[in-house]
Amino acid sequence: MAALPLIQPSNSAARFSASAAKRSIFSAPTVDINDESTEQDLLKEQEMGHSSVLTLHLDPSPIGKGVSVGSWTKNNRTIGATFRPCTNEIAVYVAGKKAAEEFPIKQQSSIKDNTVFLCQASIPESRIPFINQTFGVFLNTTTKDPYHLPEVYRRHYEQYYEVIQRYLLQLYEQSKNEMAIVDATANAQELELVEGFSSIWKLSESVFLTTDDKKPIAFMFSEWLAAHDAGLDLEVGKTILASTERTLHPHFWPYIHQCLLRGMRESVVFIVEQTLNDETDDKVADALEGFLKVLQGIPSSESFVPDGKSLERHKKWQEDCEEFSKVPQLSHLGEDGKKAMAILTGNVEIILDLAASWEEAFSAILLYTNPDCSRYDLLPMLKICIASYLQDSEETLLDRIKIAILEMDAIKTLRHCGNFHPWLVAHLADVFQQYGYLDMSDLRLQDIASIGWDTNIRDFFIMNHAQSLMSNPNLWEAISGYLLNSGHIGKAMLSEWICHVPLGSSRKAHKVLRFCKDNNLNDSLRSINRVMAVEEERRGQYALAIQHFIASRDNDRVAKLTDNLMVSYLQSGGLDLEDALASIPDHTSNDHVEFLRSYAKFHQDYKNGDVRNAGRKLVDLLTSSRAPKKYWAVILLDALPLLENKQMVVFDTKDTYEMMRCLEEVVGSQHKAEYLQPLPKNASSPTLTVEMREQQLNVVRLLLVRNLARSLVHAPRVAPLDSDANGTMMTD
Amino acid sequence: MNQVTKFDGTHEDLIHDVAFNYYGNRLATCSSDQKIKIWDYNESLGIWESNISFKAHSCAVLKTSWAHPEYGQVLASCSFDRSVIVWEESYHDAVKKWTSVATFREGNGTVQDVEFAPNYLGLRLGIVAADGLVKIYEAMDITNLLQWTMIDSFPVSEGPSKDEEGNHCLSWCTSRFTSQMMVVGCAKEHIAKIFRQDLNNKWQACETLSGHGGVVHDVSWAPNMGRSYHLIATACKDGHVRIFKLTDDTQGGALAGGWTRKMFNVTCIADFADHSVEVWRVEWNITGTILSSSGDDGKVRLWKATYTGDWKCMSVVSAEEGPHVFQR
Repeated sequence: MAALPLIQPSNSAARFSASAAKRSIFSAPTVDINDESTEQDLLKEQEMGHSSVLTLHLDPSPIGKGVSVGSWTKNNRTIGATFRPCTNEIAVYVAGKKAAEEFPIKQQSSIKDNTVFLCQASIPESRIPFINQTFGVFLNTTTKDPYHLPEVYRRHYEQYYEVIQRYLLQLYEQSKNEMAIVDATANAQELELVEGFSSIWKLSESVFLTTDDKKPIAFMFSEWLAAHDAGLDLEVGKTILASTERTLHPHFWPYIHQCLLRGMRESVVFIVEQTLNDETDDKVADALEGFLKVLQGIPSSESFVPDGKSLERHKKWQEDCEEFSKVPQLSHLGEDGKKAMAILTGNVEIILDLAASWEEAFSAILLYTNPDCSRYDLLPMLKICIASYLQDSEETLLDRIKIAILEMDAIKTLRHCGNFHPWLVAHLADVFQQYGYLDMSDLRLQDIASIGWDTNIRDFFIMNHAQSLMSNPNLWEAISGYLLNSGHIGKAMLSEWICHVPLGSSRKAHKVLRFCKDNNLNDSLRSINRVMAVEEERRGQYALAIQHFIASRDNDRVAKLTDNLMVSYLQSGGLDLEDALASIPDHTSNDHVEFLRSYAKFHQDYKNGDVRNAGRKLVDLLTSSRAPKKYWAVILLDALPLLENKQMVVFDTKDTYEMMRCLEEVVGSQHKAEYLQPLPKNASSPTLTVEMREQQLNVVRLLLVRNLARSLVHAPRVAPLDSDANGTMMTD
Repeated sequence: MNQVTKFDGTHEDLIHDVAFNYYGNRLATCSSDQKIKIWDYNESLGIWESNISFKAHSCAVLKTSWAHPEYGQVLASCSFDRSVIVWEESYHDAVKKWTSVATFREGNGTVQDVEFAPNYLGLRLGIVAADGLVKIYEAMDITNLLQWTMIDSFPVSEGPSKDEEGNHCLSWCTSRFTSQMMVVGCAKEHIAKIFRQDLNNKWQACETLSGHGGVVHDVSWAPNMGRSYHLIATACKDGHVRIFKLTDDTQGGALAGGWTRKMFNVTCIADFADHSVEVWRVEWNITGTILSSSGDDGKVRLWKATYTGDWKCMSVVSAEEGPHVFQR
């Protein structure tokens, strides 16, 4: 008996159609590419599209039972909606059209008028791993060339189908335990959807993407049919095998016919062998033996070896079939036996009569009339099958997709898949593009490009898919990855959208920042850093805020923050500047931060009694322009204890001159009041006038003059910063 | 499209506007009860929780707009009391409080629309009142929101502009690659106009979005997203939703670098009468790919473009009673 396919399609696959229930706003018609062969299709779609717009009724209805919309809106009410950034959710609410003051009598409002509804096209939790896994496959394949290293490409690309199958298995498992599932309907819908993915993906692969050119499409199609079409009930086969008089079993011949139509050689050979072994009637046994012999020659992918003689062998087998059809012993198998032989001889009329679906008929016609048919020549046979089985009204979306695939019309396939689901069309479009099916030099595509839209088909669908994922912000990495790989518009969308992703934890924030940095999303990087800086500043985390402002290149804000820190330090004295700056990496290059850091180190050295280094740093702050001029007065005042040092002349003549120059620049400036402002207040006089502040600097001036004299006598003593020269010890 | 959650706005009168903050994790609702309420999204529970409610104006609060978060938690509201107030969330003894940091009193009529400018322009606020004057205010020091200056003011139409029936509305162009622009719905003229600054930084009415059969109730300028064209949607009293496409006018001299009143070719690329009755609001999502429209038919419609630029209604949310179907 033929091996059961790994995954048995559920019955839902057979009745699958594009019901409104499983479509989201993102999966509704998104492509409309006109080509001459599909004008009728388009008309049909328009009709269908009009009726298939989804309507969600708010629960509970804000209008209520028995109230007409007209009378409801006359009472100053209407409906309003606003998009939730990042997720594309919409908040829907009853909106007052005019202010209450415009009505002489106060109108009554109830809870029905005050409910805010949040609506979105949500993604089921069970689909999240599938989305993430296929995103991984997308990243691996999208940058590779299927013609350059086909094996490498194939290895990655085949994972799409593997992931689909894994998810399908998981859903089958879940559906077996439906009792345990809260939302069994949702699971059934998801199962239908993924069965559709699996079916379409495999068929597309067989027709468009296979690298196995040696394997005729006839066999690939029958394999696809066995795996993805639930038309054959394997349980019937088991029942037939269990019965005693098999040829008399009412389902024996119909089952044999169906197996033959579907090219299930092994299954039918097994059943006939078993039947032959148990058959007691010699005449029937003879007929079955002859039949079995013919069956064993049914063309299969194994028999079609590329030795150039396959067609010859097949012709010979067809002649054998024709011959056996005419032998009198076949009459012992009855009319059904003759019909079976008619299938094998490729009698199209009988095949169309017996097949349960156009797919079955197509499989049989292909297999028994032209097994070596090229995938480019399927159209005539396809037309025969469609005409016999599908009325326009019965044609489902899945039918249209399958037909478009078999017609090898990539654009039509994508158009219909665009109506099916954004995941499917995005990934198919990506692979089609890589295989060259969406070459923009195609005349039909040039027509589209001339309309003036800025994106190609593949990018359009990838962006669409990314947007359909936005309802779940946890998928931000996949969304970003897809947008990043969909042209300049995708990148522009990403640049805006990623700024709206709620950062939540600092871990997520840093991941988002890292992503932006790695992918040169510089505007987003700046924007996110700026927002984080403001937030850190609000929380009093100044060092973190400074880091983010440096990253967002907001030097003014860094200056403002460092000023705040300096003022707090000068006013309270309790702030440990070094501690406050500790978390800022040493390599951070910013003048304001460098100043604060050097100033803090100067104080630290002084506190530690390292007068020599403190003096060096102080002079360096003044002479290297590191310290903003508004802090010169403060720094000069800080020099007081060093100037008063009796053991050592800390500043040499040159430094003293420099400090004197700085002092004069401060007090002689027209901005004197501003420069003197940061000087510490006196506890006894909390408000200082400019004169009082200048008075403080007069002390510095006096000490500088005295130090000049001392330095002339005891020079030199302050070495350059990098030198380890010692200060001059006083000998007196 | 599914109803994910809902909450009671708890206002004592009709809500006029609901506005999400930049991240969509905060909501502001405003109402004829003169109050603004702030709602926070509780991510772990998936529900919206009331954060604060405060009396904001002395009359109905008609609209609110959130500033970019780089300016902190800042909200602007406009009211029938002819004023606009800028609110800032602050902490007093670890208690959150919304403080009014600036009030702009507009003498001649209800302030009908308020919207913060795109953040690359700084902290700017565009407002339009019933007197037909658009005013632009700016916070000169973004670390101190107490100081605001009116940096521009211009009439939406020439001649007496007070219009009893119609309302004015505005929407900023968020693209940073063009001069600052906004679209303004000009009540009595039944049109919307694009305003932008000329070479002397004076705001001038430029292109006209015409073809409306009534007052333009709302306008929305789609985020540009690197496209070579702009999209603007209008909601009209005549029951139509219209989408206008603005493409560079290569004949008009715009590309030569000079200022011109005609920088764009304006084409109405979609005109939908599906609502059939007055349409009050239109709004784009942040990627400028989905448009929502809502009207007196009690329905919110979502519109989306096909690959060939054909706009189609994708989904409808109805306030009327109907079957509740789970949709995926």
